[in-house]
Amino acid sequence: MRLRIKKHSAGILISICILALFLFVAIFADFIAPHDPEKANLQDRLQGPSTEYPFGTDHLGRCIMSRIIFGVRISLSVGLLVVSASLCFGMAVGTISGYYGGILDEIIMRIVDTFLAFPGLLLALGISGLFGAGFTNMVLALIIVEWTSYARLARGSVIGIKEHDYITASRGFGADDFHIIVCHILPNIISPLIVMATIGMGYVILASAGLSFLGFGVQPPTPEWGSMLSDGRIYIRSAPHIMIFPGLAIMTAVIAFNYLGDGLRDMLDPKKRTISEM
Amino acid sequence: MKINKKLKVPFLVLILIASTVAGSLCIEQDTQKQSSLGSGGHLNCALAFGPSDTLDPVSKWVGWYVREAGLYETLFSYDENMVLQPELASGYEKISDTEWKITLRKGVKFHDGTVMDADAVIYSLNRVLDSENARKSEYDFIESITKDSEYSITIRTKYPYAPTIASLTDPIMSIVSPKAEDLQNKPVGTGPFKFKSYTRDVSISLERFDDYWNGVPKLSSIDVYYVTDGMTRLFKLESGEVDLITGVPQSEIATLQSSEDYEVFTKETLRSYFLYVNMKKEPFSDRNFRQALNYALDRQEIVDIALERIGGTPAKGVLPSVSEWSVNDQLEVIQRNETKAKELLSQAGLEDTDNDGWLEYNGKDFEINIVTYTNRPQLKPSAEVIETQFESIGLKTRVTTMESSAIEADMSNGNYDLALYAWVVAPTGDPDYFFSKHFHSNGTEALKTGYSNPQVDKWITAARQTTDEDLRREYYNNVQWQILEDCPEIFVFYQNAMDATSSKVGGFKQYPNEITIITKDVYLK
Repeated sequence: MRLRIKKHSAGILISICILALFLFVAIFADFIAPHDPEKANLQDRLQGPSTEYPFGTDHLGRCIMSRIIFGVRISLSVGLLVVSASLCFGMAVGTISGYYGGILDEIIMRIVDTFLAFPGLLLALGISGLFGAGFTNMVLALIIVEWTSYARLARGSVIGIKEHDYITASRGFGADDFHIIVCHILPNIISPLIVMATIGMGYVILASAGLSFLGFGVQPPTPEWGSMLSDGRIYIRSAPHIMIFPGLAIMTAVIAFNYLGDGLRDMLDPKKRTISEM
Repeated sequence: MKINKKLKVPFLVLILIASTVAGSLCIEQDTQKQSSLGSGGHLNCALAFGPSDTLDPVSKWVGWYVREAGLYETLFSYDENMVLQPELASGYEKISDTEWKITLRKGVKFHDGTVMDADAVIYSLNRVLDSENARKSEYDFIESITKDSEYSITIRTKYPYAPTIASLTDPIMSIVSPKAEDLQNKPVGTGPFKFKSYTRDVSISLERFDDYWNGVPKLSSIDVYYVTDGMTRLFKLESGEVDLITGVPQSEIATLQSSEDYEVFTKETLRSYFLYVNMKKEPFSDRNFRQALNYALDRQEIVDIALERIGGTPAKGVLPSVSEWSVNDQLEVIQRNETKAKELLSQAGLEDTDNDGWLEYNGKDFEINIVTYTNRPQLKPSAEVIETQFESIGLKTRVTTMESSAIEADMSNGNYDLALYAWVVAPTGDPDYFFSKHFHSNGTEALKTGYSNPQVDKWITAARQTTDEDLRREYYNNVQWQILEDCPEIFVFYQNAMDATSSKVGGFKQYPNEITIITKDVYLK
C-alpha cells in the first residue's frame, strides 16, 4: 500500500516540477529566450540544432527555442483563461441547476446536452470559423465548448449531497440557500471539479494548438506551438526539427497536466484515502 | 484459456502488427489486379484543386477541373507553348470586325454517342451567356451566335472585340452534349475520357472513350483524387498509391529529382503573385509610397526563401515572360533599393518622428497589414519574407491569414492595406481578360484597389476593339509600362508549375495556363 502512494506522488512530483518550470519560463521568457522569437534571420534558415540555436531555426531563420519559450506563455494563458472561466461558469450553472432542480434544471441540462452532442473540437472549430481567427475568439470558442462538462459534473455532485442530513440540519438552523451552497455544498463538490480542471488544462492546450495548426487560432508571427507545427509541415523530411520540438513541448505539457490530474484524483478520492489510511 | 498477464500487452501488440501487415498485403494485391486491367493500364493521380458540389463546366471555374481530368474540350485551346490550336473547331475566319465564322470539326462524338454539330456548340455557348451565369459579364461582348450550316457557326460581337477567338479557350466554354440530362452530376463531353463516378471532394473515376476524335487514348481508366495538402500528395506518390501529382512541395523537389523512380516537371506558368494595394486609403493613395514598397521588395530573396529557389521566378512586370504579350524582354527585375525606398517614403510623409525605429505617418504610429490566404502554400511564407523586407526599412508590418472569401469581402469594403494574391493572368492567352478586370476603372478588381487612370482605360478599350495585332501590342505595352509606374498592384513573382510522375508514366506535358493536365497521350510504361 505504501508503495502505491509513493508511485503516485512521484508522478505528481515530476508533473509539478515540469509545470513549475513551464510557469517560470512563461514569466521570465524575455530573459531566458536566446533570440527575439519574431525576428527572421533569413541567412540562418532551416539550420539544425547548434550552440547558437539549441533547437535549430525555422523556414525564416527564427530561433525555434525562443519561439517555444514564448509559446509557453500563449499556451498556458489560453489554458488558464479557458479552464478558469469554464470552471467558474460551469460550476455556478451546474450548482444552481442541481440545487433547485425542477423546470430550471430541465432547461439548463437540455442546453448542456445540445452542446455535448457535438464533438468538442469540431464545435470549437465551427465557432472559431464563425468569429474569425485570433486569440480572443479562440479563447471564447473553447470556453463555449468547455463549460458544459463542468456544469454536468457539478450538477451531479450537488444532487448527490443535497439530501444529506447535514444540509437538512443547516436548513433547519435557518440558513438561506446562498449560505448552504457556498458553505456546505461547494466545499464538498470542489475536488472532482479540480481534478477535471487539471486534466482539462491539458485538453485545452492540445485543442488550442489544434486550432492554431488549422489557422483558426493565434496569428503569425506570434509564436504558438500549433502554428509552428503547421509551418514546419512541408519541411517534415528535410528539416524535421521544426516540427519535433514544438511537438515535444505540446506533448510534455499535456502529459504533465494529465499526470497531475490523475494523481490529484487518487489523492482527493475519499474512498482511496480511507483505504490508505487504514 | 488464460494468458499470463505479463504477456498480455506484447501479445496484443503482436496481433495488431500482424493484422496491419496482412491488411496492407491485401491492398497491394488489389491495386495490382486493377492496374493489369485493360491494355493501356490504370492511372491514379492526385491533383491539388478540384470541383466540389457540381461538375458542370459553366459553374465558375469548375470547367478548369473537368477539363484537367480529360472530360471536356473547347473549340480552341492552347498547346504547351501557348500557341493557339483549333480543338473542336477546325478553323476560323474573320468576316468583319464584328463577325467571326467558325468551322467545326467533323466526326466528333460525345460520350453518349451524340454527334457534335453546330446545334450542340450553340447550345453549350448559350449556357454561359445565360443571365443566371456568374461569369456571364466576361462574355457580354457577344451579340449573337448563329448556325450557318451543320458544321459552321458565326459569332457576332456588339463592338469590335479582338480576343473573341481566345475567349473561347476558357474551359467555361466547354462543349457539352445537348442530350445530357444532368450535367451537374453526370458530365458528358467530347474529351478522351468519359465519366464513371464522382465522390464529392474526394475523387473522380474516368474510363477511356473509344470513339475519341483524335485517336484512341492510351490509358484505359483513370482515378483522379483531390488532395489539398502537398505533403500528402507527395506521400501518395512515394507509396505508389498514385503515379502523377501536381503541386509538389518545393522543399521536396531536390530529393525527388535525385531519385530515379520519379520524374519532376517544372515550368514557368502564367500565374502571377502580386500585392493588391488599397489606393483608397492613405498613404497608399500616394504613388511615391507605392513605389517605395515596390523598391523595398527583394524579389530574388523572396524566391530564394519562400519558394526554395525553385518555385518561381522574380517578377519583372505584370505579365509572366511565357506570355507572348509580355514586355519582360525589355525589363529588368526591379532590384531592392533601400536608399530610393527611404527617399520615396519621406516624400510620402513617413518619418521616424519619435525615434523608436519605426516610421510614423503624419506623426502617428503606422502599421501595414498584409492579408493573404493559405490555399496556396507559397502565399504565407512569401508574405512573411515581404514582412521582414518592409520592416528592415522601418515599416512596421504584420501578416494576417484568412479565408479567401473573408478577404474578398474586406477588400470590397476597402478594409485592407495590402493583399497578397495569385492569379493566372492570361488563361485565355489574351491580356484583355486580366487587364480589363484589374486596370480598367470599371473592372471588378480595379474597384478593390481603387485604380483609375483614364489613359489606361483608353488603351485597354482601344486594344480590345482593334484587330490590328501591332497596334494592340503597342497599347498593351503601354499599359504594362504605366502599371509599373502607378503600382496599383505590386508584382512579386511568377509561379513555376511543379508536377511529378513516377517513372512508369510517359507522355505527360505541362501547360502554362494550368488548364490541361490529362490528355490522350499520357500512358503507363
